[in-house]
Amino acid sequence: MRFGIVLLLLIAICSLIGSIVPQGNDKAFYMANFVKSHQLILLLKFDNIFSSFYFVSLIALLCVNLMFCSVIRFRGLIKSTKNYTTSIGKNSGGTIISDVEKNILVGFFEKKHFRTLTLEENNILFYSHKIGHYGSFITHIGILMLLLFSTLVLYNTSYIDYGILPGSSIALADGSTVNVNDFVLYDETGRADFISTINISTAEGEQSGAVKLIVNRPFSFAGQKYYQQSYNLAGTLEIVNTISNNSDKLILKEPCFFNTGDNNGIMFIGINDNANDNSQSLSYGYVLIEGAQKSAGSVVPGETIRSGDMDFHFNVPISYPVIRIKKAMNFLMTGLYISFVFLLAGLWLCFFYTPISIYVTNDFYLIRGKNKDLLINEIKDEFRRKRK
Amino acid sequence: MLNILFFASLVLYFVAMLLEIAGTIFKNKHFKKAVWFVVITAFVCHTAYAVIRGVRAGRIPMSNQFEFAMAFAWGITLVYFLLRIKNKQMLIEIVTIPLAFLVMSYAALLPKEITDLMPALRSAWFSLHIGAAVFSYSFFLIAAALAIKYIISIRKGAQKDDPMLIQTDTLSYRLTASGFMLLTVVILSGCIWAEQAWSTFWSWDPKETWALITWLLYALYLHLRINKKWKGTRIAWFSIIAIICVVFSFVGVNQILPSLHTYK
Repeated sequence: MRFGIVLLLLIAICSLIGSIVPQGNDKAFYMANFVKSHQLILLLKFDNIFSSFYFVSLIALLCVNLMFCSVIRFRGLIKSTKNYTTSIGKNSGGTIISDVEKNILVGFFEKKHFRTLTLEENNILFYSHKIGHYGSFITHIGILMLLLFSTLVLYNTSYIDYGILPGSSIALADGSTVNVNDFVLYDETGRADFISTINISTAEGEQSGAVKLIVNRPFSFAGQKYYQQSYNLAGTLEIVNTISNNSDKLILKEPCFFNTGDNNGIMFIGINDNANDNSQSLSYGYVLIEGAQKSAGSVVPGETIRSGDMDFHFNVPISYPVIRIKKAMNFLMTGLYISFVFLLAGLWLCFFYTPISIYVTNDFYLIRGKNKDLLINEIKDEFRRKRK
Repeated sequence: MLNILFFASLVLYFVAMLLEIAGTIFKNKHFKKAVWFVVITAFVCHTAYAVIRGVRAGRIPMSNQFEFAMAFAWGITLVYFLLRIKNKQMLIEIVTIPLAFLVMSYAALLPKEITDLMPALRSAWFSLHIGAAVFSYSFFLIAAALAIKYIISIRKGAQKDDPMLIQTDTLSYRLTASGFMLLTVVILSGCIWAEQAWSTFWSWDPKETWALITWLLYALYLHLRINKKWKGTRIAWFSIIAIICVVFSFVGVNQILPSLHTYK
């Protein structure tokens, strides 16, 4: 028990550190943001604390501790349920009562709908919430299952994010193709919503048909789960050769450099979204390179920049969805959900079905159970009331 | 109209708190009786405000920090009514009414405009996840306030076997146990929802991490109480320490730490 308490405390302390120190950034980030403490952070793995060897060890130790705890509890459980209805000797430290008080007690517990068991010599056992004995055991099993299944889910799930332009498709490693027919940022009422209409076809020729992928409503198909994860902006650019009048249209998803000869050209940096959901506030970031001169700037959609003999005409950017494809083992997910049920059921039994038994003889009564203080007070009140 | 209802309930909570303090200091029964009616009026205004706001927004009003704080104060008052109806002798108003007023005052400082629900929040899990959090926090806060009341009573010279003190201690434990159960619902429903919205059950987001820290602390509380037989002053101090964690999860995480759960 003491070891378990120490483990819980240590896990809480590690979690606290993990919530304060930003996780998963590169070394330069910590050197820049934690000037004095970055060496300590990197040395003690505070930058990735939740996957550090000592945090994983603490979780493993907690699992072992829970296992032992469950076994011990199970043995105690069998013992306590067995003893629940057995008689108690005269020297059991009960409260002495008179015949009148015994009758008051009997009436009191019958009124409270306690179950009754008449034992030898007219002794009576009142009991309630017998099933509550199992609460603590089920809770511990639930936590153990939760830790086990969540670890298995963690190591057996793969995710890949794909940014797919509307009207285009991508081929997955397993031979399936995902086509995005359409993507909208607003629903029909004008409210912000991210909806992709997709088509999936597997290597075996199985077709999903047109499916609307919405946030919070993933779509399961052929053993994979598809999520409307986020969205991005892609620039649309028209390059015109001012001499030949030839033109080309391009979609810009990533930074890139357009060479216009003699190492001159224009570097597209990215799209600046200055205010959400308003295309007027969008601008293209670029660096114009002319010889040794570099000049950074931004243009709003519709503007043109010339570099050498080329005109770069920046059009209105388009939104495209980022779709996450997840592969997980269904039985592990089911196991995890079952552990949730166990945990909640166990806690419910622990706190709201606390077993209590009252052994009433002709001479004394004895209360056994965790929450007996209130019942003792209630009995005292009942005696006082009846005496009046 | 909407703002009038909000500020009316805020003022009424304040009046109830003053009456309660005056009633306790001067041992005046009339003041104490008046508290009950003032709190009922405050609660009616508060409920009306929440309902109208919910109707106007077309959703349960618990989607941002202001709405959560407002719902939190409402939860505290509702728990107070339930406890008061069950046990009139408990004198629980001395701890609950100032709490409701405090949380409402915090809400009053936050922006109150009604905004559209973000796509990630439009889920069937929303009501269960946030609703359970409101009541879980309410239980923890009242339990901690009762713990403070217990410690003050002991310092004033009350005996540990005083039935009223035993009742305070037991009620504090029971509220903590109920809060713990609901916090478990919050975390588990959040896991299921996160899997639907973001594809992962758990991402060590600061809000999630602080919910886990809170859960671990209260698990410790319950182990110490049930197995190590900690009672009275020791466990009351533990309850007070643990509530700091709840308050930080509620206010601190949103203000200080960048989180997926920050819906301002």
